[in-house]
Amino acid sequence: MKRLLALLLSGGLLVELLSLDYTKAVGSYAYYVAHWKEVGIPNLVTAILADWRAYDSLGEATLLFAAVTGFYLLLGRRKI
Amino acid sequence: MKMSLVVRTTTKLIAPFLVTYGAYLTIYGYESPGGGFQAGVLFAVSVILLMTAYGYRRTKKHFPLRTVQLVESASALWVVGIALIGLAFGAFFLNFLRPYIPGGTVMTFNIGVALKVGTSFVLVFYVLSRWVDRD
Repeated sequence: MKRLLALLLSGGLLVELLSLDYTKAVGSYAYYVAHWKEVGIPNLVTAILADWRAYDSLGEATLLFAAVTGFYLLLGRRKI
Repeated sequence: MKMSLVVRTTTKLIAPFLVTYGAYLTIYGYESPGGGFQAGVLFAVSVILLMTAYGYRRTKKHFPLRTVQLVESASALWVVGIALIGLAFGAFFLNFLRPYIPGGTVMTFNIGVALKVGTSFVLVFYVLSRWVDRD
């Protein structure tokens, strides 16, 4: 019963994913494709990740810095 | 703490290739798949492999804790500095280096993020292993 349910779910997901249409550009995708040339980078994924969404990487770097600071403050003492 | 001869030899063979691949991902990340975070994790993994194979004491001689801390803070300042210099040219994270360097700020930003992520993970492992054998 459980296996049948999983099979049905996967089949429905497969049909849904195969019926997606990526030929027409709508929403933010249209904006990215239209203004791709302004960034001047051949890789669209990198252009999105490191130019338009560079805030995201900056936040990730801040998160790592906070994690390291926490580790050092909590466990960095030489002898207790 | 020292692992067996097989582990030590394999680590010695693999670590240079890891560092080379990390440098490739950092520098060519703007026109091929890759980026700063993955490259930084590769750098960190090469040092962590050395640490698990040879022990914390021997790794610390070649990558001192003070240097790792210094590189981490300097690359954090580098990343924030690139963002703020872009602000001076008109927008936050503006690609103001594009006419001069291939990839512009994306490549320099990737270099900063790679150093930052790599040294962060190494520092976390250093602090943890120092805490484990503190007594």
